[in-house]
Amino acid sequence: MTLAVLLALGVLAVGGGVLVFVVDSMARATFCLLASFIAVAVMILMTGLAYLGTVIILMMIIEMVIMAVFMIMYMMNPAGLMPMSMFHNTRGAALISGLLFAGLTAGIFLADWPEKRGERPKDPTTALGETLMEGHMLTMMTLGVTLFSTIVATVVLATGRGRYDRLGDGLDAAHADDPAGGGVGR
Amino acid sequence: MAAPAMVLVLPVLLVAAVWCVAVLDGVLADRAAGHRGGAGRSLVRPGQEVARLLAGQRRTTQAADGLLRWAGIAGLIVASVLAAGVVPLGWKAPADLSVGVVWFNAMEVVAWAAVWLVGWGPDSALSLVGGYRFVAQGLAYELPHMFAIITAALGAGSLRMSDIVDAQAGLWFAVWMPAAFAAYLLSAAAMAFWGPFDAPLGRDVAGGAAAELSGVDRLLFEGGRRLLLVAAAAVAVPLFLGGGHGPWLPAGAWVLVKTLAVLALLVWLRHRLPVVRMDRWTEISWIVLLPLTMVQALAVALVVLARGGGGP
Amino acid sequence: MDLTRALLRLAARTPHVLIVPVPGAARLRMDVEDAVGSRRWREASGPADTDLLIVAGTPGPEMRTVLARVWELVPAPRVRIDLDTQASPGDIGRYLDEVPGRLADPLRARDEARTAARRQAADDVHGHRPGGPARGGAPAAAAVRTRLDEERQLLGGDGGPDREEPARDGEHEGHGGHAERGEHGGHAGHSEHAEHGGREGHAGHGETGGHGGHHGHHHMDMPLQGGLGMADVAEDRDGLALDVLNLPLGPVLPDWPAGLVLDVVMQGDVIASAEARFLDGARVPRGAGEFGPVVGDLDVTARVLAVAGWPGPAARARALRDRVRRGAVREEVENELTALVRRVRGSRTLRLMLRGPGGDRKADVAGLLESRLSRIEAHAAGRPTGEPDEPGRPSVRELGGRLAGAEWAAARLLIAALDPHPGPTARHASAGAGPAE
Repeated sequence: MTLAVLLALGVLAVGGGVLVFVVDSMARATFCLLASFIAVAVMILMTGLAYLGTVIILMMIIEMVIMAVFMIMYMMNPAGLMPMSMFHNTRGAALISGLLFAGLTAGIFLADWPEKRGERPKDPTTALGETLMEGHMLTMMTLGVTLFSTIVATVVLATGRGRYDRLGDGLDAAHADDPAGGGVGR
Repeated sequence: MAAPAMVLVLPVLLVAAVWCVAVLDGVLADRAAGHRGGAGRSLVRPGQEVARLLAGQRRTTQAADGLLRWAGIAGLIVASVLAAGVVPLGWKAPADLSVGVVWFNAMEVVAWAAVWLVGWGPDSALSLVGGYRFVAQGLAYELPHMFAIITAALGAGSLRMSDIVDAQAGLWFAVWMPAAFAAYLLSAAAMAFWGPFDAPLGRDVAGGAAAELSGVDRLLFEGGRRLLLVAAAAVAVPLFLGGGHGPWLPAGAWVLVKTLAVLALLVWLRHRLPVVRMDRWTEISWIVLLPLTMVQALAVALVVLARGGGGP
Repeated sequence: MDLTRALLRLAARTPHVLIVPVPGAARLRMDVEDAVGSRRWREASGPADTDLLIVAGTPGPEMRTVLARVWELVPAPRVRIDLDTQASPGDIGRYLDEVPGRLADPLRARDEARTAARRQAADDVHGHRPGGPARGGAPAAAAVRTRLDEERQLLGGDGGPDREEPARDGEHEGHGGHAERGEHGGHAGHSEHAEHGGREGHAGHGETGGHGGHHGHHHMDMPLQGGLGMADVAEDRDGLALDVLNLPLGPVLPDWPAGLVLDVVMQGDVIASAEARFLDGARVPRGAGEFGPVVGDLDVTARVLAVAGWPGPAARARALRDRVRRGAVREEVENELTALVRRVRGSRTLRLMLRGPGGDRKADVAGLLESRLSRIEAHAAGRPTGEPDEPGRPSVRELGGRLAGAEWAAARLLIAALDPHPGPTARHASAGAGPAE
């Protein structure tokens, strides 16, 4: 029974991924990808990792919606109204991906998976938290801060107008020089 | 009450709560507009509106993406019901997940996808503007919301709703985490695009994401929105208002009373304030609300540590 | 009694009303709003939400075409009332009293649905549309293009989407019927258009026309269904390269000045540039804008509050306006007027939403509203109110310039506060604060 459900979810995941390239509409492609991710998340839920599975659903939905915004903004034909073909190097790509898939599958079946050692923890969420935070607290904190500063730096580099454009050379303008004001007024 | 019975009772309770929201909304709208009397009219009004939408003709537009629009409407309703499934009705919930808080969060972000899809589907300019307004709103409310609910989980040392309720036996979290509670209430209105946060369906965009909906589609969409509001208000009870704790009445009655109180507050807020524009709100949300919730989380963490470490 | 009949009877008591004002019939519009409000009927937010369409005034030829298209967008059960400019409140009351009966008639509802379906069947003559997934009842591009061209001739507009014009490139006309097979209670399908009417109203094509502007002129050979064209890409106000959408907005939008059409070039929801015009040349009869001293201010205040999303005080302002119009003396209403002014002024949220960005005088809706509120307060206190703020009201030609760079919400607020209306000259010469027609 479990195996049947897992198989169905696997088919859904792979099918969703394939549909991303088949459908014309970018909006539909995004949400096919979301369906694929959710299928994978449900599979993880079925292995008993409740927190990981739920967090994957949460994050993927938010990410796919934001990705939809960018897809619509940058891609041609976002509604699929024009039957446009957007494939390049179809045969080569199919060959490479087929080979890769075969290789990975072979690896999965031929790898020497270890046997289960010890007991399943009563609360996998706490166990996960402790694993991440206890021995590797410093790493996690540094990672977090690094990620955050990368994001901030990227945005600062990407934006066309900086603080000095908005607030004057002395950063002391009464109001920020923006075309549309924000709520705080700066 | 056994879990299967609760699963059957939950939809009934949700629909009843949606009805109460509609009635209260009508009463307050009449009072805000200065109309006298007609309380009886407000009781019947939701029924009339439902009948109107049931008997109305469905419509669609040219080059509409009907599949995505339907997916949005259906997703909104399903997610709202699933989100309400972790709320303890009394002491036990229909589904007391070990990660109930994160589950609720995951189900309410489905609204992001749902409203965008409904705005996108009809291929209509103002409808699309409404859908995108909701995405902007989502980005603004989500982080303070997440910090608020994590603060409640932090106070109890667990992500399970029933543990959080148990931790409030002495003092409700709303009392010693007021900033988190306020942020949660605002985000509850924002996630259901209700009240001061209903710019996505605003009058200045001719109905926004719902502009091209009529008939049953509109009924399901508006119903889903109110369902999400009810679910968000219901979750506020175990997270911040002590769940079923309270004198004299049984736990189930207390949950009901508290949920209705939160709903009344949210409906009142809708009529008290004009609609908040997202280009003004985003700055406030990120610069004021987010640091506030972070500081609140820090304060709660310090209290928990001082109490002797919260954790299983 | 079958279910449909019961539902229709229950629903007919609270129809949603779409009031379409015609320039020059402001008095009639206010009478209709008064009658609808006193029956506690809700105002619709668009044609999809409408049961009752009321045309307040005698429309000109362009407006008539627009109204015909809007009427097609309204789903059954539906009733349309065309009021003459001379209609009295008694006439209005009589017409409105008949409406629940007409709405509750299931045979009539089926007829309405069938009429719309017949129109859609004419579209289907040419068969399937090229490309895309098959959907029941989708019209052929050819049939739609024929109708598009007809309409352009009717409205004297520009050529089809394939003809390139510099400013009009990527024009989107959301025409074309599209039957919806969703049924309930035996209604047949209904043909739609994604617009509010003709080239006016919002065209049904957002950024879905295609993105990534490196397509050159390919789109001329392969038109999208409905004759829609591919959008071009240009830099917007903030420096992003976004699609350009040429959209005629109005005149059938909620809380919108009568007869105003805004031809906007939108990117996202930011207006890159706009041109305003009034339908039918906008000849307004002399004296049409003459009302009492505070009626116009209350009307504009109500409109701004409604667009700002605060229906309670907006309804109060409208009720006060109607009481003053019906002859209430100053003493009767002064308390309520002052209370309203205090309520609106005291709302910090409203001020935050309305104030212009960074002290920009031109876009400061809060300032415009404040001047109206001061005049209402002065009238309530018995002081002389003075002339309306004439420099604040732009001509139709200037209005478009004022809106450039504004987001849609800000633009709607600005239009509501500026209250443009057609007149023989740019400056309105009436003594009172003439409300928008």
